[in-house]
Amino acid sequence: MSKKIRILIAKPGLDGHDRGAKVMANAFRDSGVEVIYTGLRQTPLQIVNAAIQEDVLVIGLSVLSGAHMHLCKEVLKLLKEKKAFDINVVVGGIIPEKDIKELKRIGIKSVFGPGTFMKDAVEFVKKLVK
Amino acid sequence: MNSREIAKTISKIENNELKVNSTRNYNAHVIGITGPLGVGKSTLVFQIAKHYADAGIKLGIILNDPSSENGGSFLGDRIRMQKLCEYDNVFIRSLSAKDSGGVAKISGEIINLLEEKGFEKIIIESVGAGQSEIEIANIVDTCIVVLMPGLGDEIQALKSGINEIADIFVVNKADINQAERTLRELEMLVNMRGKTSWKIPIVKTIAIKHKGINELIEKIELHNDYFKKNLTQIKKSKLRNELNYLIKYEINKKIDKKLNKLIETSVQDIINNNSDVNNAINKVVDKIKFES
Repeated sequence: MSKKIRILIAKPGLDGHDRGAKVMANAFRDSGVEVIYTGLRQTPLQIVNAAIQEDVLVIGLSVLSGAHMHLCKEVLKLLKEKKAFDINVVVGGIIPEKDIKELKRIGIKSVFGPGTFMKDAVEFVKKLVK
Repeated sequence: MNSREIAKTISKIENNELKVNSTRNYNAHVIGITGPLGVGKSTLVFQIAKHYADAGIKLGIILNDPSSENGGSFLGDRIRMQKLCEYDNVFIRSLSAKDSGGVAKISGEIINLLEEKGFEKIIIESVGAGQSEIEIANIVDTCIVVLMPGLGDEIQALKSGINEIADIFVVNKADINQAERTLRELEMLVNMRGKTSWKIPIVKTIAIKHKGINELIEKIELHNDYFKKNLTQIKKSKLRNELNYLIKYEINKKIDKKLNKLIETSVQDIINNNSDVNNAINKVVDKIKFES
């Protein structure tokens, strides 16, 4: 039996649009991944603590509120502080082109915007943790 | 407490890379929550957990959700626990339960690990349980069975299975119709069991509004006292059941492959009219040799 891939999918901040996050969670589950779905309106601290306790390899953040820069920076900062920077972070949502470069520069592994094929996102994450 | 270290150890147990000390020292109080789908188990776990967390107790929570055939799973019990994620004295772990019994087979090992690491209370939630997921009772000290009004008539309540493992009954969502009826049916069930040294309490709660939680905590603590006082006796019967489950699990694992092949042959035989179901069963049972 190969090692389990565990990922955490969460929605940080004040944004109630969780359809995308749920659809992605289902896509990952269907590909044999264990998905811990933690739901809406979470603080970066809640997300990072959950990721550490659940020992996930990847955190998937879904942000449609426009606050992605701030929220991603906070999550990455907390991961560093808690010596868990080896946990990969990817982001999905409505992210303007100009921000993608900056997000990748600060340590986000990939950004999935509208029109992403689900299969591509799943494959990317699986390759990331190989 | 180093959460990261504990989390990594649990993963190793999950991936079969590590075995931990598998006997309890009974320093911790282990509370199990089980019951059918949708009765409010997770919300109740949150309320109980928050009570202990606020009191500064070192608390471990194990949440079981079912896994899919392909090994994937959608573990969503944590949604109800968000507020507990900022507590330093709380550690929460979700497990996918692919094994029968309502809890992941490694739950017992994780309880032992957390107990060894000094957790004072450990709460474990089963998957939505039917009438046969009773394994949880063997690995916890206090087993809470959660029901809600309108689940079925009194006959349903008399059926064996999860109703027989309760140390405490909870009727959650007690503000909906027929709560009194459910309560009375349970009372009847409890009384019919005859006199035992522990009288099973029935607690009404509305978990989402924090109603009845204090009374429930009181009963949980009472049962803990009872459990600790009668430990030698109860320990024996729990251990017996636990071994029964785990040994059968290992035996099943061993014969599963062999069995699949034999079943295929039997199906062919029956379809070709060379055998019938009873004959086929006897033949297969004869063929399996229980060498280790």
